[in-house]
Amino acid sequence: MSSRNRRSAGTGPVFSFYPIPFRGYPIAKSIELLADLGYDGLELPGEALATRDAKDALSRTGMCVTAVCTRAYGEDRDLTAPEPAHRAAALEYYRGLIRMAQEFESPIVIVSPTSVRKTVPNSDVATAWKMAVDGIGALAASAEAGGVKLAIEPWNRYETFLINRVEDALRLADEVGSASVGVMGDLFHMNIEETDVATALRSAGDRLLNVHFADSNRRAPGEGHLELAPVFDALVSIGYRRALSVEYMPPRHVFETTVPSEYYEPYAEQTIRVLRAGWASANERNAA
Amino acid sequence: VKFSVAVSPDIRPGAPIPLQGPLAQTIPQAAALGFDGIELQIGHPSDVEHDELEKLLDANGIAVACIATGAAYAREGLCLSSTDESLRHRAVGRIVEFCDMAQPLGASVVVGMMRGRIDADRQTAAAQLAALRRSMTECVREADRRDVILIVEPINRYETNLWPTTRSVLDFLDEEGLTSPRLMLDTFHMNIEEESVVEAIRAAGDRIGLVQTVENNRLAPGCGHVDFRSIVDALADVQYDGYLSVESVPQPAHPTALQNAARLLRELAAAVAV
Repeated sequence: MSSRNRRSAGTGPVFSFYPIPFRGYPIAKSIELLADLGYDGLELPGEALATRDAKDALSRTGMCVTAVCTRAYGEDRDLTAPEPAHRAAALEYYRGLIRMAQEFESPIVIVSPTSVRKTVPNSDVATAWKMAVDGIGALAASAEAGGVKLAIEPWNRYETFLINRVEDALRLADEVGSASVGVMGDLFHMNIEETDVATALRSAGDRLLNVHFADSNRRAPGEGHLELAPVFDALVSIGYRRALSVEYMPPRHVFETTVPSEYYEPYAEQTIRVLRAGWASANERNAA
Repeated sequence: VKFSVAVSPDIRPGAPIPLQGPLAQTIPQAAALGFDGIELQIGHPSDVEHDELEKLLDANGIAVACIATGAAYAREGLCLSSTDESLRHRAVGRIVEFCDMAQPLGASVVVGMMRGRIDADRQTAAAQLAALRRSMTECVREADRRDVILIVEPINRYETNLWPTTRSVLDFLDEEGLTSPRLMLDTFHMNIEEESVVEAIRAAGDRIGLVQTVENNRLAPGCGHVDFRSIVDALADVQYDGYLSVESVPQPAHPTALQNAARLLRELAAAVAV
């Protein structure tokens, strides 16, 4: 597909968006909306999608897929599950995501070794760690063969016991020891877990494959108190040219059964302005 | 402004309580670290031996800033929003017992996790909220009678789905016409939930009962990226003169982290002469 090259050409970065908040929108509608708002690409959720519609919308709009994002819900998507059958199913799930990435020309698949909200290990951390190394190691071979990179994503302590910080992800990637395994950062999780968010991003250097942008309260950047300038400065300083990917999440408060309307177009529109301005300012500071 | 540290007579691995173990150890430790008070984390007044507690407090020049009650929920499921009327009564009764204990100590009583979690089902949720309103009214009435301040704590989204922000607690108290309770501001929870930590402090103003100074990663102040300077500045602006309490996970190597935290907080407070 030439589409990806058209939008992602140049010195980067690529402005991307994970359309999970657009609940009720068909994928094609999300893609067209994001293209209209000026995004270059999107992250695809790692679920069965109407691929024909998605592909048509991508080629119509010239949007690219910057990553396929894991939806690690349940034991059969958990590389550290105690049952061998579950671990095998999890490997199969991620191999499916790698195939999806190839099909959509996505350079990256996001991996988390544990399922969402697993905050205590089934037996002990060392056993889970070993399973994570083995699982991601097995996937690295498939990724390499498919020309796709795996990005290990740290989550905060309430979502996983295993990989909470960028340094944990780097250590796991080191143990796997494959050129197709790197790390990523999600600013919402990082604001909870990192001693210093910008330092953590710098520490990943050229192994940083993706960044998720949300504010401290997981709303759109600008809606919380996270300082974005040091984040952009850190990314510029390491020569980051990959995706700046928006991943804010709707609240799950009492009585909130629908996604508030601002989580659709208003936040998506506001966010691309915030990201473009932040990136431009950081580059000016860097040049000065 | 005064300084306190959370203590628990029980060992609770992973809990954000810096000093855990027998009070005969933890109270002298708190004093040696330069704290003025302790935040006593217990599930029932009988978790401590009262004569011993008083002796230790006297001998070490330490006050009890507050009694934190979350262990009653964790251990026994005592919950102020329970739709099981007998369970709800027991929960209110437990708060009243804590008030009885707090009164001679000059301590406040914290309502944290004892509010419970609200069900996804709309009808059940409505019944829980009605139960919680009754419970809070009863608790406040009994606390007022004893001249004990109840302190309500906003808690982040992952631990409970009710009252995540300062605003949500203020709104509840205002709607119920409950004027005596104060707020607990915990900077760990605030880092996740507040649009602006400083604005939340200003909004709570003279209704702040206690401030828990904890890093974003739940370690002691100095081990993360929370901007305690702006927090202490905002507290000075609203003329807060209560405790700054350290409620952090006991790692890495306490007491060094606690010593550093105590020094950091004292320096910041001295700079604005809170």
